[in-house]
This record gives sequence, C-alpha cells and structure tokens, in this order.
Amino acid sequence: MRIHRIKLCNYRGVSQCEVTFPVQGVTIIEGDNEIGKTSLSEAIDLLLAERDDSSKQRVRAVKPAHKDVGAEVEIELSTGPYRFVYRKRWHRQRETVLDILEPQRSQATGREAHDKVRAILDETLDETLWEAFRLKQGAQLEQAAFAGGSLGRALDKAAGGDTTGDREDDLWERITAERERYWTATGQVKADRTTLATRVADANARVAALETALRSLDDDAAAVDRLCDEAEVLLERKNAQEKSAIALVAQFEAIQGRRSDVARLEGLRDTALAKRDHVLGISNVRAELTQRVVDTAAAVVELEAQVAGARPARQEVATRLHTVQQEFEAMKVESGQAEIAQRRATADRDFLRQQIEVAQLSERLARATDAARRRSEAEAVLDSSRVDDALVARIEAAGIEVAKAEAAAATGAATIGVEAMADVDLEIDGQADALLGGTTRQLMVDGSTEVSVPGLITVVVNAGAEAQALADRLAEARATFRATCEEGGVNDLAEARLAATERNEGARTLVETAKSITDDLRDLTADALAQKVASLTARIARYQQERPTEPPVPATHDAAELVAFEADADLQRRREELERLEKDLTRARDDMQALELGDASNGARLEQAQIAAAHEQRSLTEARGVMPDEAIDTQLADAEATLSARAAELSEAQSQLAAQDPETVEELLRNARAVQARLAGELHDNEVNVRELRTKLSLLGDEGLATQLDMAKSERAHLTVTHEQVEARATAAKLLFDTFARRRTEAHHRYVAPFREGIESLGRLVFGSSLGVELADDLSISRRTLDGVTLDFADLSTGAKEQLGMISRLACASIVATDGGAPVIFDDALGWSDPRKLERMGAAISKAGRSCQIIVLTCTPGRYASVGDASVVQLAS
Amino acid sequence: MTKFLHTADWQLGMTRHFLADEAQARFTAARIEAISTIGTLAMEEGCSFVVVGGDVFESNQVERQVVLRSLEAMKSTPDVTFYLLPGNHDPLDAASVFRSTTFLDNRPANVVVLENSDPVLAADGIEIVGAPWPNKRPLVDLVADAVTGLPSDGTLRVVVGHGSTDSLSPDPNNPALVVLGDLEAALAADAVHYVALGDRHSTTEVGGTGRIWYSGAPEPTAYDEIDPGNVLIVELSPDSVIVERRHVGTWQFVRREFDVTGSEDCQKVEHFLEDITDKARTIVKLSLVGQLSLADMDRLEAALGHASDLLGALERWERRCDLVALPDGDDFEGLGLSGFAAAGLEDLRALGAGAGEDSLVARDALGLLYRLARTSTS
Repeated sequence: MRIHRIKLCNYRGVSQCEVTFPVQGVTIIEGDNEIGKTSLSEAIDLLLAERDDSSKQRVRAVKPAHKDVGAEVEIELSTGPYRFVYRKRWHRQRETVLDILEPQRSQATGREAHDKVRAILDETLDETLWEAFRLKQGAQLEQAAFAGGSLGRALDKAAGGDTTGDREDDLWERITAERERYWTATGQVKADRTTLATRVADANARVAALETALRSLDDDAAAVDRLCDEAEVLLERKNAQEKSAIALVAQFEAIQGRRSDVARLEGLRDTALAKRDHVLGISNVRAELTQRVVDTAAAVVELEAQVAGARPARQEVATRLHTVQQEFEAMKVESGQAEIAQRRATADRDFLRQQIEVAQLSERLARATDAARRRSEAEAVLDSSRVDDALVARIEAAGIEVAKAEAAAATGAATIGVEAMADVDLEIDGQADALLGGTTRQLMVDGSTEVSVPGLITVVVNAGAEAQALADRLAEARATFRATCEEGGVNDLAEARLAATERNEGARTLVETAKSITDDLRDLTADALAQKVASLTARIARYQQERPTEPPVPATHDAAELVAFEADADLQRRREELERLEKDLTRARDDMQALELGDASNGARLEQAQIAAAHEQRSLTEARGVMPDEAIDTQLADAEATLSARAAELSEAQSQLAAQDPETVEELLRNARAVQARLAGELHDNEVNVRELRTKLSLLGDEGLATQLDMAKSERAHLTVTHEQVEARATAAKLLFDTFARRRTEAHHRYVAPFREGIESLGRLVFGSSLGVELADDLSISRRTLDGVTLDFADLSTGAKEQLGMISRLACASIVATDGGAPVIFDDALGWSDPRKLERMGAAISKAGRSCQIIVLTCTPGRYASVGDASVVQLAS
Repeated sequence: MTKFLHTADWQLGMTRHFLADEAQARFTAARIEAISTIGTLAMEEGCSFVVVGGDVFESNQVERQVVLRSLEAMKSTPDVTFYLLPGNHDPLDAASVFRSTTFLDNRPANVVVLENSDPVLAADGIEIVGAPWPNKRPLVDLVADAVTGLPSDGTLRVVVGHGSTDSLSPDPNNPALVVLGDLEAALAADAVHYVALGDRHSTTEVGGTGRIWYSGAPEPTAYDEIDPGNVLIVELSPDSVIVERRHVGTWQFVRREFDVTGSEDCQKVEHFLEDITDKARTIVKLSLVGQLSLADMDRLEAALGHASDLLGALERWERRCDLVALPDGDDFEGLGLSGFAAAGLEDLRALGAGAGEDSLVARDALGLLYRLARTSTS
C-alpha cells in the first residue's frame, strides 16, 4: 500500500489540511503540537475502519468542537493493483465516496463503498504489518511480530520459493513428539528405555544364574559317580592293606620275644657287675689301710727330726736377749744423770737472767717515779699559771695599744714638759714625783693632769676634748692592759712572758714525763712494776739460798746458756740411745717367744703323730686277722671272670636282636596301622560326601531348574527382541529429528537472512560495523552482538531497543515493499535516543526511504534533521 | 507273536522360546496329551506294552508338574505297561529324574524304568533288554554291551537303546556311537529280534534288516524334522516283523522362504499364511529376502501381525537385513513435502542408500517419517 494524499477537513481542530506524499522516500511532517499531525495518522485509521454512521467514541471525538459540521477525511492510496480516492464525512451530512482509479474506473458510495474498500484491503494489505509499521511515541519498545504475514511470504519468496507450510510444521511437531517418546529434552535416554535395558540385563543375569545352577547340579551328579568309584577303590586298598598288615604283626611278635631275652641277660650281667664292684671295694679299702700305716710312720720320723733341729737357735736368741737387757739398764742410769745436769743448768741460766731483769726493772721504776714527780711539778706549775701564749699575746697587744694610745695621746695630747731647774718635788696627779734639777719630765695630759709643786703651785692642765678622747683611749688601753695582766696574774708583759715560758716549759715537761712514764711502765702500772721487782728479787734470793755450791754457778748469763745448751744436747743423745736399746730388747724378746712357741707345737704334733701311727697299725693287724690279703685277691679274680662271661652272653643276644632290624619292622607296622586308619577315614568322608550330594540333588531335582531355565530364556528372548526394537525405533526417531532439525534451522537461517541482513545493514549505520543480530523463529530480534559482546534483546538499553525496533520495521518495510507492503509511519518516535544516535538513525531512515514510503510526524524538527533525502512539510495552523 | 508300540523322545517339559505363554501352555499340554493318545492307541491295537526309547523327559531337572502329569497320563491306561529308557537328556545319574522322590512316590505300577541291561520279562516269551544312559557322556557303545552275551534260546528279545548310529551319523570321536554291525550280528544270531532306538525325532529305518528302527518323536520339535509325529506299531514273531507307522502328532512346524520385491510377492506371503490349516497349532518361520517400498512394507507388516495372532507362533526373519525397505518416489510424493522437510527427506534417502549400520538406521528413519507424514496429511 502507498499513501498518495491525505486531506483533512474540519477534523478536530484542523479546518483544512492536505498533504501529498511521494510514493517512495521519507516525508517529514513538522508542526507544533495540536496542529494535527497525529490527526493525520488517526484519520487514516478512522477512514478505513469506521463507517460514516459510526457513533463510536473515537468517531465522535474527531468532530470539530467549534463548528457544527462533520469531520471529513479524504485519502488517495494505492494498494495491490488498486488505486482509489476515498472520502468520508461523519457526524453531519454523512458521506462515503469511493472513486476507484485503477485497474478499472468505478465508483461507489455509502456502505457499499466502505465494504468495497474493506474487501480491497483484505485482499491486498497485510493488516498486521500495517499495524506494526505505525510507530507511536513511547509505545513501541516491544518488537513487532512479523512472523507469518507478508514479511514471511516475502522472505519465503526471497528464499527461493522453497517455502514450507502448515503441513511441514505439523509434521515437524509429530517428529518432535516421536523423539520425545524415547529421548529427554537434553538428549538423554528416557527412563523406560533404561528400565527396559535393565530388565534385559536382569533376564540375562537370571539365565546365567540358572545355567550356573544347572551346571553345578551336573557337576554334583558327576561328582557322585566319581565318589562312588573312589569308594570302590578305597575298599580294595583297605582289604589289601589288612592282608599285608598280618605278616608284619607276626614279625613284630618275634622281635618282641627277642627283646625280652635281651632284657633278662642284661639283668644277669648287672648282678655280676655289682658283685665284682663290691669285692673291688673291699680290696681297695685294704690297700688304703696299708698305705696309711706307712704314711703315719714316716710322719713321726720327720717330726722328731724337726724337734731336734730347733734347739740351737733358741740358745742363741736367749744370749742376745740378755745382753741387750743389760745395756738398756745402763743407759737408763746415764740418762737420769744427764737430766739432772740439764735441769740445773737451766735453773742457773734463769737465775742469772732474773738478776739482770731485776736491775732493769728497778731502773725503770726509778725513772718512772722520777718522771711522775716531775710531772706533778709541772702540773702544779700549769695549774698555777694563768698565762699562756695567748694571754701573752693579748697582753702584748694590749701593751701595743697602750703604746699606740700613748703615742697618739702624746702627739695629740697636751704635754707638759716640766723642766726642773732645781730639784723639786713634784706631785703629778697627786703622785709625788721628785725631779732632779736639769731633768725634764714630759707629761701627757690626758683628761686632766695635775702637776703640783706642793704647796706652791698646782697646775691643772685639762686636755682638750680630742685630747680627752685620746686620753680616754689611752686610759682605756691602759685599763685593758692592766686587766689583761691581772688575768694572767702578772704585772707586765715581761712577767707575762716569763710566766708563759714557765707554763710552756711545764707543758713540755708534762709531755716528756708522760712519754717517759709510758716507756718505762709499758703495760704495767707502777705498782705492778714495783711488785714485779719485788717478787723477782725475792726469787733470786731464794735461789741463791737453795743452790748447792757444786758445780759452781756460771759467771754470766751467756755462759749459763751455753752450759744449758750442752746439757740439753747430752740429755737428748742419751734418750735416743735409750729408745734404740728398747727396740732391740723388744725384738729379742719376740724372737724368743716365737721360738718357744714353735718348740711347743712341734712337740705336740710329734705326740699326735705317734698316736696315729700306732692306731693305724692296730687296725691293719685286726683286718688281716679277719681276712688276709690273699683271700681278697682271690675273690676279686672270681668276680671279674663271672662278669666277663655275662657280658659276652648279653652282647651276643643284642647283636642277634639288631639283626632283626626291629625299628624298621616297628615303623612299618605303625605305618600300616596309620594307613588303615586313614583309609577308614577316607571311606567315611566319602560316604558323608555322597550322602550330602545325593540329598542336595534330590532337593534340587524338585525345583525343576531346567524348566525354569527354559522359561527364563524365553523371557529373555522376548525382552531382548522388544528392547532391540525399541532401541531401533529410538535411534530412528533421533536420526529423523536431528536431520530435520538441521535442515529446518538451515532453512530458517536462509529464510531470515534477507531480513537479518537488512536489519544489520541499517543497524551498522547506527551502532557500528561490528553489529550482528540473531532472529528468533517469530522474526523478532532475540540477541544483539556489538563489539564482540552478545546480549539478549531484553537486556539492551531502552534507547537501543527503540532504535532496533525502528530499524527492524524499516528493514521489514524495505523487504515487503516490492510486493506491496505498507508505509511506515513514525509519530514522534525516537524519544529515547541521544543526539549522536539520532544523527545516525537519520541516515538509516534515509537509506530505508530509498526503497519504501516513510512518513515521519514530529514536533521537534531537529530530531529528524539528519535524514537526508527527505521532503519536509510544514504544517501551520 | 507279540504286538507292542515303539515310541521315543517325548522330551516332556520342552519349551520353545518363541512361543508366547498361551501357546507354550497348549504346546506342553499337547505333548502330555500325546502320552494318553499313545496309551489309548496301544490298547486299541492290542499292544502288550510300550517301549519309550530314551529322552522321556527334556532334562533331569524338569519341574514336578511335568513329572506328575506324565505319570498320571500313563496311569490312565493301566493295562498298558510303559517301559522307559533313560536317554542322554534324562540319564540315570545321581540327579536322575527317574530316581527323584516325585517320580518314585508317584510311579504307577504300569511304569517301569529300565535301569540296567538285565533282561526284563515283558510278556510271555518276550524279554526287553535296555541300554540306559548312566550319564551324559558314556564312553562305550551301550547297546552293544547290553547285547553281548545274550543267548539265542528262543526267547523273543527287544533291545531298547538310545543314541546315534554309526551308519547314519559316522563320527570317529564319539565312543557312544551305536555300531550297526554288532546289532545286525546279534539279529542274525537270533539273540535279539528288534532294536527300538530313540534320539532321532524323525521316524527312520536303520540298516536293511527292517528290525532296527528310530520311532521318532510323537510331536514335532523343530523345523528340520523330516517325518516327526509318529509312533511305530510292531508285530514281532520269531521269524517275521511288521512295522506300522502311525501319526499321532497334532502340531506342525513350517518354515518357508520368500523373495519379496513387490506387492505381488507380498500377496503371495499373505496367501501362504492364510492357507495354513489349524493355525493355532502351527509354528511358522518365515525367511523374507528382498526389498520393498515403504507402502508395501507397511502392508506386509500388517499382514504378518495379523497372522501371528492366529498362529501358534510366527517366527519372523532372524536378521533384519534380509528384508529391506527402500522408499521410492511414490512413497513420499503423495505427501507433498517441501522446504526443510523435503531437504531432510533427501538427506535420509541418501544416507539410507548405502550399506552399514547407519544406512539401516536411516532406512528405519524413513519408515518412521513415512508413517508420521501419512498421519499428518490424513
């Protein structure tokens, strides 16, 4: 279908509007809101769908509000072979006029016209497609359903006429259903088939089990036969065995006989042996006794010799002892004497020393006493002295002060010089002072000085204040001096000095004496020292008294020491000698003792030996009396002979026994018995086994295993066949499905290829060269791939959806255009797209416009500014 | 002159796996029936006894019910004595059915088991000498052993044996082979007068004496038997023997091969199946070789399905490869497939044209497609 021209009159708010469209290409109708753009689109619908007498709301709605006239719409369109002009007026002066221009001129009015148009449209227009091509603002984010319909047919044609219809689709469904009988959606074996396979396996197992059981049963039957044969053999062997055993038994008995003989002979031999041993014993005893007699006699002889030999030694020792003893005694005496000498010498020495000591001590004492005296003197001096160096110094100082003060006073003071022309008696300050004629006296006036010649004049000179002061000072100094002197109990410095010197001397003496006392007394008190002296003196006196005169006392202490020293040495010498001699003595005594002991024991032994010898001799004599030696010898010889005879007999019998090889016979017999026992055991086991097997067989026989096996085999055969058949059908269904599915998908791809390519070609203008889309069976876009990323359509952005939606309609329109199709009408679409995309969409629209009729209604001129090759119609009111 | 009935290879308890349960039950029943039939026949013909030459039971381990039923069947004709010989299927070993408690407890008086080769007096002046199998693999010619040392003293003797004979089945490795020469010698020496053999399921004469026979099984057991379903009525006198064959079998085994290359051939098969009498007791094995269009295949399948419901059993072709369904243009044209369906069809055709497992599957797929497509359009 193509729209050539639309005209609106009194349609809503539009009084008049006519737009002509080129048959192919983009027409952009621009106008503000409410100018009637949407009305154009709406009008087409109304015109084609609603009869002029319709009272539907949507018809009533288009009646102009401000005029009492009917709305009018006229359209000129081509569809299929038809081209016509169609006009309607609703509401007032209703009218429907149809003027068919092609293929044949004809006219119609009213209902007939309406019906005719409907018929034409039914015949030539794909309504669904026409609807899909109307893109309204904000509504079309869903995809158009193009499947079936004219797009489908166009694609069919494009696909080379190799179209399929309902028949094929129906068949495809059946094929799918058939497949589902055997396979799950994911291509797995369905449960029933698996179950069937399991049943086959079970049937196999059961057959195998039964076969095994039967085989085992056969084996058992064969085993019974075999066991019976074995039993026969065993029985034969048993009998043979018994026969051979008999001979062995006889042999064995014979051997037993021989054995008892041997035993008997052994007994005899043992008796003979015992007897011989007994006699031998007696003989031995005799021999021993004889020997002992000899031995004891010899012992006696030896001992006697020993005793004799001991005597001389003893003599010698005795002599020695005696000598030593004498020497010892002598030395003892000498020793005593030496001791006395020594003691005396020592005492002498001590005595002399004491004398010296006394002298020394006395001296000391005297010194000490003297020192004590001096000391007390000094002390007295010190005590009385009140002047020490310090005081002296003070006195000196005070003296100096006085001198100073005097000097000061003298210089400052008034002086009176009295010159005596003749001798005069003066009184100076009341002090009579006679002056010789020609002498002068200088007097200082301190304070007031009175010089008077008594009875004549009295001159009082008062010192001036300063002089007073000086005089005061002088007086003061003098006072001080005097005081200080008084302190020391002296009158002047010289005295003081003297006193001080005395004092110092006294002090010195004190120290000296103290030292002297200390030296002399040392650690003793004086009393003690005195006492010591006294005692020593007493001792000396005593000693002098007691000492005998001979030998004389040495003269000096030194000499006494020498004598003492010599006496010590002498004493020491003698003592040592004494010790040595003592040792010798002890040794000699010990030796003596030992010898004596030896002698004693020897004597005892000799006595004993003699007794023993006598005893033995007696015994021998007695024994010989009972049985002489010869008799014993004879007996022994006899016994030996008997023993040899018996032994020979025994040996003979033993070798005969050995010749019979008794061990072997015994062994054989034992073995034979064992074999018999074993055979009996085997026979018994055999019996038991046979019995068991027979029982088993009889029980199993009742079960009818063979029949069971047959039935199992039969069932297995059935199942196997069924299974194979099912499997064959399953495989066939799968192959059929897979083959057809493949072809179907190919066909689909081929089929949708033009459409897809159309979409991609337009889409690449907008999205870029990497764009790819996938189409679903219903020809909607299922996925978009861009820059390697594939997204489902539902996951795309709103803008992308809008763009793709428009592109798919454009592509579709391009394809169906050759066969009629319908115009694409956008009523302000692309609201979601950004300016850049808009620009590109413009290019896409332009491209599509080259093959179909596109009408764009917009109130935003800029939106479609980038659509080249577009005719623009401005609608103005 | 004595008259007796010679039969063998009853193989009671035999099952055939291709028989469905219902048919198997009837099959088994028929074989028990046969015993009664034999008993009745023996009585009608005035036979003194019946000798069963081995393989009385299918195995020593048949189920009790079989033993009981067969003994009961023999019991129903108490005047006829049945002499049973243990054969290779039911040898007299430790597990022998003839010594089981079930058998021993329920054996009627007119059932005698030949347990050794001692002559048994069956009736006046006639002895039976059996050569029972002591185990499954005997190492000697049992019949020859049984016959050795039999005197020719005027007593009629019937030897009952089981196994292959060297003249019919020479096999140097089989020590149990029955040597014809020994038998003929014994016959010539007048020690024995008839040898009743079992093991072959078809009635067969052995040698030229006319006195050595296999009676065959009373009911057929397999497809390759030449003459089954018989018993022999033997009239024996010292210098003559008359052997009469009597058919007692009720079932039949039929096997046929068909070349099938078109709808005509299919019709032939259908006719053949229809023409079978007593379908319920017929077991048919068809070997079909050739190729058919899918349509014909469908039709043939339907016919075979129908037949198998009526027959005792219908064994189909053992291997699928024998009959090939090759779809031709007609098959699919009517369906008018186009587009991917047509392409898919072509793929399958191409795949199915070759040989090998994949081609088989492809042809099956084509068959499936055919069926599915037909239901679509209809």
